[in-house]
Amino acid sequence: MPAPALPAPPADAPAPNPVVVAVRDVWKSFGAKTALAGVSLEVRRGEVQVIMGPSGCGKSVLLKHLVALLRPDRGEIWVFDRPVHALPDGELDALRIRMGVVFQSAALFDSMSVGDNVAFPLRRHRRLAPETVARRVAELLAMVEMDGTEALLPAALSGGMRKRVGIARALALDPALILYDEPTSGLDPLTARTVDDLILRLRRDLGVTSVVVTHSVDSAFRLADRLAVMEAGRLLASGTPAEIVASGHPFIKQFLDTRAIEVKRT
Amino acid sequence: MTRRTAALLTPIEALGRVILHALAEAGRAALMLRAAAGWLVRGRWEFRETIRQINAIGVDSVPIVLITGLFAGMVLAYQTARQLLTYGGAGFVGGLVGLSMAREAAPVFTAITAAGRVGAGIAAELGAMNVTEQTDALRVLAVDPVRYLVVPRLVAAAFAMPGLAMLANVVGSLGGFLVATSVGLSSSAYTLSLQQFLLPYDVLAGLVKATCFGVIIAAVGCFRGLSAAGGADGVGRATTGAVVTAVVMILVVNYFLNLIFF
Repeated sequence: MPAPALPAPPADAPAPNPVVVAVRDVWKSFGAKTALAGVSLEVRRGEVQVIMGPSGCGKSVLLKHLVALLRPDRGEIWVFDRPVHALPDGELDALRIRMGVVFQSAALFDSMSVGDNVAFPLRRHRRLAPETVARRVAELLAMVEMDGTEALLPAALSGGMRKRVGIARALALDPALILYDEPTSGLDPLTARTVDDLILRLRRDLGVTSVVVTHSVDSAFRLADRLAVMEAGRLLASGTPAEIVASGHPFIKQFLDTRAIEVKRT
Repeated sequence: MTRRTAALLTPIEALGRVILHALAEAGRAALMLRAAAGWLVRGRWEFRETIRQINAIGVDSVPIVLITGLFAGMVLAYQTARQLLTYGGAGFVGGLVGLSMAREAAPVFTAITAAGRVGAGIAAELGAMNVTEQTDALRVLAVDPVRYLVVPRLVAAAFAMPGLAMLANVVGSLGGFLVATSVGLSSSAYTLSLQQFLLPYDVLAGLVKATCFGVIIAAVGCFRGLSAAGGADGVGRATTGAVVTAVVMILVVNYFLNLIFF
């Protein structure tokens, strides 16, 4: 089912921000399983775009396409007006430096300390003196409220702390776009809330565009400027959270009702 | 389609799938090696990481290589000295032990030991990185995992293995000397025989073989590790696969290197 058409903006509305990410009719299959079936989506500068859906609906697969960790079978992906789907590796790396990715598992390098993890992109891509790197690492860790943890190994951190260090590492090269893959997955509600607040604070303070993939209805509505709902590889609807609630799509209604059920039981 | 044709097709289809899978794996391994060779040719080495790997692959393997090399030399000397002394061939013992160590025992035993220790270690480390998205994290940080992870391990193994094989040569000959003299051979007969039969070419050829085996161990370990999927189970399968594949390849390649060198 195609995404429902949204109402036209009023005539005196300000010009929309430029499109940073454009996904056009993307298809992807793994063997006989179709992971993405004609997904199209646009993300504008400065927005928090949340992609919500149940586990296995293809939202993480879509996110991986934005950084070319996966290539589409068909369709186009444009990021910062560059065709990610067709870029050779060398040009892709130049584009990836402008993006930050926060992985579901945080994906910190086990063999390195927290400080070395955050310093890694700086040492690889910036010619900075060691003391400048150390100062920048301390700033980034302070930004995610992990001050003074430089010497710790990732194994000594809790799930929420690992995610925050992952966010600090993703911010190291001052990206204009950050992709979050299930940033609150596996966290208790209070820690999930602090990670959500951190994402919102980074958007407010740094003005970065964010794409957040989540199956948490609470996180989605807390974070989203715009919300897209996926099911079985298809984009069911896209719009503001209010438009999504009003869409009346049976699956979306059922998915959103899970929050009400959780509230009732508690 | 008749029932008989269908019954025939099933095993043929299965065989076809196995062959296609093997070809696909070989193709992916070749692409990884081509990418590694590309970084090497361009001189874009991760120097610090390479030194760290030489330490992990070479220096940390010294104790186990000393033990295997020593006992390999001792058992060679024990078998040859007992037989040759019976037939008055005392003058051949040192040469036989030295030659066997240099050409075969030192490079092959060292390689098989390293396949178990180093190859398994590489596959487990890279496999764990792969299933926990750390290799994806490298890619999105614009760092090629082949350049950062594979090339240092290939170079380190190529440098470390001949050193380890040389060490096995020395302790193997020393162990042979101790055993041969303890079963009645004079020390001068052993050393004279060693000097007479063992040529520098034999030692050098053995070290070249060890270099080839080192590349095989690191390449197989890296490939299996980077192909690991599916959590701890996948890492376990990658590790076992790395050891089995490397040992089989070492023995097969050893035969062909013998045809070339000797």
